[in-house]
Amino acid sequence: MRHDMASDKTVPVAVRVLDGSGNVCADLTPNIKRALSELQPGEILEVVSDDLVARVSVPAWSRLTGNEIVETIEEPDHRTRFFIKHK
Amino acid sequence: MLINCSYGKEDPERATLPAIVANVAATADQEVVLFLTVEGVRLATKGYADDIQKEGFKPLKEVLSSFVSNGGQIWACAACTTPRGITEDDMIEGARIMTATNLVEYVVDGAVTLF
Repeated sequence: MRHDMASDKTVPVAVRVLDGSGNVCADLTPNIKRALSELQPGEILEVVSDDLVARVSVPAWSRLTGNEIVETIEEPDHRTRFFIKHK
Repeated sequence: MLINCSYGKEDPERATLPAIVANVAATADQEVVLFLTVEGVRLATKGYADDIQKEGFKPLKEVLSSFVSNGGQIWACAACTTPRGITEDDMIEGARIMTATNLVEYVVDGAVTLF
């Protein structure tokens, strides 16, 4: 875990950050799948999205695939940061 | 159940029939999602369905209202609302913007689909 200055929260340490800004919903979860496949089991991928509907689609993808969202930070302007653990 | 509608007022009959089936299901105490795509997403926006009525059918606005009051959910596909500039603020009561992933999850969880 580490202290995240932007959110003033303690967040998991991500080995990679996927910037999904500009991704429409149908592109984001496939991109998450691709990025996560390059990590080892147990490693954390941070996903950043500026699409408000990511707050429903990414949790649904997590439930479907079993890759747990260990932390979610909702920021202003529809931006969300998801910390996803590779199962 | 998950029932799809991809038509708006350009085809009142195709816009209305899925909602009628969905309402029949909801009033039969079934859990139902009316999943709107393409021009159908406009049906979930305030005021759009007000003047849609195919001869021989109830006004679509009335059908949708009955559907929601009987527990039905209206999902407007985000891939279709975004390019049309439609946001959550435009949604009628009982409607929300959802995604393909939510659709997949609903089907995987056992929903019967009518497309």
